Amino acid sequence: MSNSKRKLSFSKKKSKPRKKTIQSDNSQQKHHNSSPIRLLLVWIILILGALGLGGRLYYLQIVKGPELQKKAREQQTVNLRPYIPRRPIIDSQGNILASDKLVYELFAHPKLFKVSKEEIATKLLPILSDYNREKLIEKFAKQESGIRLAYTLPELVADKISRLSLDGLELIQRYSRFYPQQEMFADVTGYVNLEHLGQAGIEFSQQKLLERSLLNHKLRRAGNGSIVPEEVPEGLLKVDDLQLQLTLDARLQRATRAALSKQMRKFNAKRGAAIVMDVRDGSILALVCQPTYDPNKYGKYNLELFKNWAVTDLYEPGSTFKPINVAIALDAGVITPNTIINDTGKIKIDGWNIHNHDYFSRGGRGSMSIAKILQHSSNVGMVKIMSRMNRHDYYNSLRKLGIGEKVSIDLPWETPSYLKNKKVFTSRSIEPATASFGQGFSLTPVKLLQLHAAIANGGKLVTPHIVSGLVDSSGKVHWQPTFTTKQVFSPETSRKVLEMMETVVTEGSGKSAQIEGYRIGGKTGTAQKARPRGGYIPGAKITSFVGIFPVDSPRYAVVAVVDEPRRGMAFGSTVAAPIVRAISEALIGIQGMPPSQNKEKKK
Amino acid sequence: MSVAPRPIVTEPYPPRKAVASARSKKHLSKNSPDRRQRSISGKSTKKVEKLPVRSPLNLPIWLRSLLLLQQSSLGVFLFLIAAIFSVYGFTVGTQQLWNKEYKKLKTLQRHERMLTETNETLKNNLAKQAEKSGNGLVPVNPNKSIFLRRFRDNSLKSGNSQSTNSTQTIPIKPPPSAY
Repeated sequence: MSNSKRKLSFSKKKSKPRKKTIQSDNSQQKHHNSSPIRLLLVWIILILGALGLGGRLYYLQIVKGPELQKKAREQQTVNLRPYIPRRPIIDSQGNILASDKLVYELFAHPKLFKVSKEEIATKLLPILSDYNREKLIEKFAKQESGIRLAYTLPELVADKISRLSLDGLELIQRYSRFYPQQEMFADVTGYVNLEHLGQAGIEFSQQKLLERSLLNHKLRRAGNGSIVPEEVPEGLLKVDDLQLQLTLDARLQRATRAALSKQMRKFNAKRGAAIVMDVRDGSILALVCQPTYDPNKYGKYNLELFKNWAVTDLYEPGSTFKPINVAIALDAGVITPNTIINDTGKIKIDGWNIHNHDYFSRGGRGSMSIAKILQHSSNVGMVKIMSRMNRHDYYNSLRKLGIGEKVSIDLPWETPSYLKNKKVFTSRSIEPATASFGQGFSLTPVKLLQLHAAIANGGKLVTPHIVSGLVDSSGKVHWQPTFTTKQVFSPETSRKVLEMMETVVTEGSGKSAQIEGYRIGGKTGTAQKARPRGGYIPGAKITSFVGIFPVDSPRYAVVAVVDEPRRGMAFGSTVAAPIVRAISEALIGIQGMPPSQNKEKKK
Repeated sequence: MSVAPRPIVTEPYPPRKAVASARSKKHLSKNSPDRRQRSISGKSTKKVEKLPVRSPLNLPIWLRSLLLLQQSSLGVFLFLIAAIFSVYGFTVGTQQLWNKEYKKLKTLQRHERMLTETNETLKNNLAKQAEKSGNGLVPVNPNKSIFLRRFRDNSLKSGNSQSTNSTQTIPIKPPPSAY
């Protein structure tokens, strides 16, 4: 106001300087009179304002400072959880057997709802298929907060829920293991629990190879919600793309399971196992146990199924062990392939009667070659062969084969095979006599396969294994396990025994494993089931067959064990041999193995 | 910083300024109106003279160095402003870029997951369907496979392909029943 007055007075001053000067003087006078109070007022207001601001600043910075700082940190800090999944498991062909996926847990907190419970229920209803409207409202009424509505919502469903932008609903992300092949590889892969920890199979035993440390990095967030990346440590998001490759072949595994379950259905068997192994290095191409479970829904199954009984359970191998005994005897020099043994059909040792399985129908078979003994699976013949050996030497040979020890397979809970102690074994003749036809000691199907692989590969005891190594996405191997091998038979012995085993398939009990054009060696086995506390379960038997092929250049060993077949004529030759045949046929097809040339020549 | 020599003002002081200064003087000596009047009339009548222009070279050294400092500091100031803006822009820009790329990474990882899941589930379903009988698919069987002998010149020459060790057969496999 005073300014305009001033202006006015100046403009007038130009024309009438003198008069205006007087006027101006008057106004100046007025201004002069009022200014100290006004100035003081302005000064007081300004000072008060400054003091107020200062006070507020003191209050915010000093008094409430730490508390506000904490609040700000909470708002600004964001948990950066990069996607670091557990390493996938793949088969030898790169098919994924187990991989991680993200799932969401859905919680409802009714006390935070901004709209009515009914409205929330109506909006959620088309997304949550497990609920109906009443059930949802009823759930909301139960608790004030923390109501879990779903445990494993897929990402797409979680997206739909977050798009609703409803207050009071919380989605918590977590990892879940997904087994696309369902029950096909369950015995090998095992499963992971809700904490994402392996509980069976490779998931359990190879936890270190599969796990990647989960990073949970705290970062600051800008006002618009975006992350301030300056604190992101270098390489935080750089995750290796390694996968755990197994030696298994998905196609063969499928064929093996199909062959095993078909025979098990046919003979109404209690359980069964089939394993295919590359005899050169011990890598397992297929490992199947029946019955099995779906690792995606492991909670619905009996705990008993989670162990792989081909690795954990012992059984008396029976006649399938005879070729191993023959190899021991050949190596010890107590027999030659041309040795002739008199099979009386029945023999009494230490007061125990031992007879052949066909003694009551056939009686004694008389003089037989070693190959014939194997073909007819003669118990008496075997007892006579092994009785030529010193009991201590026989015991030591069995120990040398690793009987009584673990095979060190990379699956969990392996049981070492069982052999009586040396004192017991050597004190009576009956012990080595029963051992000669595969009873009185017990081993796992994997151990039996390992021993037969030694016959196939020139006498080397290889370590059966399933883990092939860690490979990246381009297939480059970054880590490989190392395994030990041990020479247990001479190459000459193993070749001779293998040829004898071929005659078992061509002329003996293993005819049902024969494949035209291919040279296959094998041995049947039908053993009584031993009671845990000694003795045998009447009527219960365990049938098995071990096959090796091609005989001219042994590459694969296959074992099929069927426990307690309860229907029809159940023997190793009728139950297990057809399984090995079906698996071998699939293997020939998958590997594209040409027929044996010698066989073709014969034709 | 206004120490630079200025060209001498050749026109009279603007009247408003004169009055203002006069008034301020009056404020200072409010009880002597005569002095105020005298000063106004005195200023308006005074002759303005041009001051001699001094060459920068004739300036004292301290003044020259100060002048140099002023001019160079202006340059430094402009450079710093440019640098601050570019650093700020870079900082904000990289943050945005990082966030954009991080979002992209997350989307790609998600696509990878979904693709893997769908692909492997599909494979399993196909294999399961193939296992069911009655769909015309049969398991691979050596009896239904054709194995052809590899063609070799030396086998032609010798006339007996089977006796040569180098002769190999290559299989022609029917397509597998499952993937």
